[in-house]
Amino acid sequence: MDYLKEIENASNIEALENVRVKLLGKEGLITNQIKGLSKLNSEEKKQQGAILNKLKQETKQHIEIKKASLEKKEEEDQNDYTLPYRKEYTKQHPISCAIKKLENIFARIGFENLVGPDVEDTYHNFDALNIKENHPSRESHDTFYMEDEERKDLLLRTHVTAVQIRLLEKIAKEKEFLGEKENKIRAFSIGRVYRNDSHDATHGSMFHQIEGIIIEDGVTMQHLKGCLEFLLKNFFEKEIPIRFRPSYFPFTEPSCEIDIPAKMENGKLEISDFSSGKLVEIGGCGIIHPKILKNFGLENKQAFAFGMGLERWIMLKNGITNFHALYENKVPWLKKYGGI
Amino acid sequence: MKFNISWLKEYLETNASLDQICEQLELLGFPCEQKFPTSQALEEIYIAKIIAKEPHPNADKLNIYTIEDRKEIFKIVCGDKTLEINDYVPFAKPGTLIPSIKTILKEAKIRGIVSPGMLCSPSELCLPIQNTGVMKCFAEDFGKNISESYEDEGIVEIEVTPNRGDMLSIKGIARELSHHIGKFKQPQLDDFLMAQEGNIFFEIKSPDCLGLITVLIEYQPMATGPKIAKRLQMIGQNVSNIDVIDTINYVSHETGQPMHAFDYDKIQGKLSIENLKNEEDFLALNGEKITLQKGSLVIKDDKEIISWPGIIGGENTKTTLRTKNILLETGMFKTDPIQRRANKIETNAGKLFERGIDPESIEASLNALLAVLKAKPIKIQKQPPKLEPKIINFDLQSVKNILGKNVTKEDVAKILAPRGFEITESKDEKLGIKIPGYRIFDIETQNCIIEELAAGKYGEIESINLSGSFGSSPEQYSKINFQNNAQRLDNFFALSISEIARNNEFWECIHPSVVQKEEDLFEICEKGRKISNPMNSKHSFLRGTMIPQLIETLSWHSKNSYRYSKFFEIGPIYKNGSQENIFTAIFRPQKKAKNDIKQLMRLLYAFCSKIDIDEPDAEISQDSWQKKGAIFKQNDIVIAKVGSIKKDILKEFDKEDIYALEIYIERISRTPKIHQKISHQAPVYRDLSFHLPTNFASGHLIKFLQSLGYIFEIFDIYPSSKLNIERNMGIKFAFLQDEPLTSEQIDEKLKKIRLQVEQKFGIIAS
Repeated sequence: MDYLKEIENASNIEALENVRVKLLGKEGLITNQIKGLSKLNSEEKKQQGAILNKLKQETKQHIEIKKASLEKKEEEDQNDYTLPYRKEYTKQHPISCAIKKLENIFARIGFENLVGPDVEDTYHNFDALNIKENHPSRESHDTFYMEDEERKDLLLRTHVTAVQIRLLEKIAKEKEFLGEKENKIRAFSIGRVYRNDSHDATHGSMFHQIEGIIIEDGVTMQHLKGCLEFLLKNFFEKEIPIRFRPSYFPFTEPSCEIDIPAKMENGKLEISDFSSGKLVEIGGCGIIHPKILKNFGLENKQAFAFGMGLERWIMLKNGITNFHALYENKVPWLKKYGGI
Repeated sequence: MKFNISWLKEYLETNASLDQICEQLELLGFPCEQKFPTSQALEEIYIAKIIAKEPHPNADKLNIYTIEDRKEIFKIVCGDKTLEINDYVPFAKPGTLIPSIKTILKEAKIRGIVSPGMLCSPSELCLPIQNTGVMKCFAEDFGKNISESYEDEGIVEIEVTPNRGDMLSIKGIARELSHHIGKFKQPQLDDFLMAQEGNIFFEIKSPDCLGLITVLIEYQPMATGPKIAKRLQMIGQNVSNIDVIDTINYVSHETGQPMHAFDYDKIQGKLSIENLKNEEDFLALNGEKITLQKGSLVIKDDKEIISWPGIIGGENTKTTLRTKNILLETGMFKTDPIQRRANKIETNAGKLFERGIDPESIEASLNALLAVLKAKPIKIQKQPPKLEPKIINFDLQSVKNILGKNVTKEDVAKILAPRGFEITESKDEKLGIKIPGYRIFDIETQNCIIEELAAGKYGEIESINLSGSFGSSPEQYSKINFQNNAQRLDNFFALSISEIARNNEFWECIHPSVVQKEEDLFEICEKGRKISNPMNSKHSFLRGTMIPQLIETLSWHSKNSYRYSKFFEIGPIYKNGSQENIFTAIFRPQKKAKNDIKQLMRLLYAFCSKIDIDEPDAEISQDSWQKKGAIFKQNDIVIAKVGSIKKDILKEFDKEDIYALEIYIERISRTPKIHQKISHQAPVYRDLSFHLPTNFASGHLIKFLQSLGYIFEIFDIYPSSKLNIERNMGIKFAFLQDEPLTSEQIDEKLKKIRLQVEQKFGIIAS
């Protein structure tokens, strides 16, 4: 009988318990058969009932015997005092892991870490970034607004780019900085952003964005590309070719999408090369719009910015296809994709 | 924006294939999706003609149609009873693939009659045509297959960025592609706008109207011709089957200039375009009554508002098949009033006008419309927009600064001239560039021109490492200290507690900040912040605590028979108008485990030790989510909270105790621990047992003893750590002195402790 084999093959108490649940648990195979008796007529019930009850008792006995033998075995195992004590260390959530990793990578090329609030105002999220009210570009943002008694302009930031404005404000306040020509600024921010769009496998109403900014004379799109390649190489731990594609963001000019080649392999999107892969967008970048810099008295400066979705990077790196799995916090999944 | 390839080719001379066209559009920044051809299936379905019609002998709801398909005759059973003799319909033979169900059609016997094939509806063919019954085709396509009659060499949809209104027209797409894969051409048309001018009496009374052209034609509308009807249908537009209206939509899609047709005989008196002085209702031609705000731009006759220019026409003056005289109107308006429009009503015209149209092609577009209608105007009134030419100062050096590569004046001219840009001035490296009409709303600075130069050529940009990047410290680059020390410490605190929790077998979770209202529960414990336009009623709050989410996670594991019972999260919570990063851990004791709350306390104390702060003062509390528990204070600020969770939050765990710990890492101030002086003498130890009354929190006693400077440790608490009973707490005191102590001296010290405790709390020690 298969049942017996399964019991016999159980290698530890946990596995044995699983077999027990499968057979005798509330929804177990034997339990269900016993439940099914009620549908039979009384003669059959009597006959079948006897068989099933016997089966149940026997199975129970087998499990008990096996359990005793396993327990004994485990006791014997414990006597090996030379075995080092090992705790089950848990893993870090892939999102925390990726953030920590990026913080280290950014630090290596001189980027400072910035933070800004999730609840922003329309000024920092839109107006100061040249996203005008009523303009179609603002509508594409699907913004969540906050209910607040005092202020009507509070919203959940739709991009971490809002932090950029907070940085520029701070720079504008520092008078000495403006006088010095040598100054260079490199900064980044990673945070939660919110979009009121539909749920699907790749979009959730909340996700994380990585934002970077470089204010430095003599830096061109070539350096920007170099910087992005450095980030990608260190994050994905392999060389990744990138290609810029023209696009439009109200706060950068020129604006580009950042594409990398990827292809579907066994149902998973994997990074490949330009000859075999399809282009996948992983972020946007560009030169900060001269109008914005002018508002902060930085018209003579050259400033670059880039922004990327953190989840997309994590999914690409680990071959994760379901966005929502990142927020479901299931331990078996965390064991597979979490970091140390 | 959808377009048909053969339509595009009326404006673009090219040999490029469908794939090449798509690829080029992608490179130029317009992501493409190929809509047609989808498969070969449509090549195998032919257009047949109905030659006879009879009712099905055994079914009321069915007819039998005799059809002619490529010289063969078939009798087909069909449920659409509206078809007539001489109608043309798509016919699928057995063995053909039906696209909607992706199945091969088989011969069927329907109510006793064999039907060798089927007549198809647009949805069965996956065509975007609005029609419930069998699709009605045109006579000119008789004998052709659906693919060649409708697919127009392919249909493509592109995503257009909000700055590029010009790309919402066939002409604009052709012009954009021309520099790369072909030559832009404009159809040669006769000039229809040469009639006598004046006397339509259309007055411009608003500065929001930058220009207006109106044309009166004598024209009797008729059914729309096959070419226009099919092209519009295939890009998903409604076909009214009134040729003037469909042709306007057609020409507007082609040229990017919206136009409108009034039934001239329904207009009463003089016309004017003006801003509304008061709020007023307007009946739009889609039948919707719209309340227009004060200041809205409208066209009025002597009686009422007859059109909302740039957005939608009015019901009362719309063109019908009985119309005899038509007033065509088109113009240019400021973009702001269109962008601000009420209800954000979406129309094709609104989409174009809010992005801005090309003032230089208004007349040409109107002319194209008249050419298609073959209508000679009776009267024309031209008030074209008068705009200053837009000239951008351009420094060739800026290209080097931004793209890192040199360009010459000749390069600039070669790239920009074919697209209508004009170099008006040139001195050394400095140029003046005149912007063509179709880009005046979009190009504002020289950076925009650099973008034009680079478009499609970003692949050529080589990468360079950031100078001095590697191995250098951040301080070298930023002289502004953006991040204050507090932030750095918060990061360190977060990292420390995360490590400690993971080493104690807690699993890290990350939950979204937006939570369900039912999950509020949050209402019971910590109110978060409310979102005024939530995606659905469920996700309407920013969380004020993470506990319900962590319980949900715990619950999933327990339901699925996983034994994991310890979880934590470090993340933001939102309340009282602010945001705070906190650590939260929850723990569900295993059935036999006694050490319940200690699992969490261990985290707190390990954390204090790791970040090197004094153990905080503890107080009994019953706050927000706490059924019973304690708060921990540092300098009178609550920095942590521990306890069992209230039953109403626990859902299905309501029969068990679940414990939580919150550490408010941002509130901790890092004053280093005061270390005790080290003595050379071995310490002397003495034990005291304190008898604690019911509900006396041991933390008070401990804090008190600490404040008096005693060094001690607790070695026992009997019978348990439970609060609601009388208990004895055993404390071992260490006495450190430079000189050896006599037993009398030690007894004296113990006596003093007893006295101090008794005076303070009334607690007796033995």
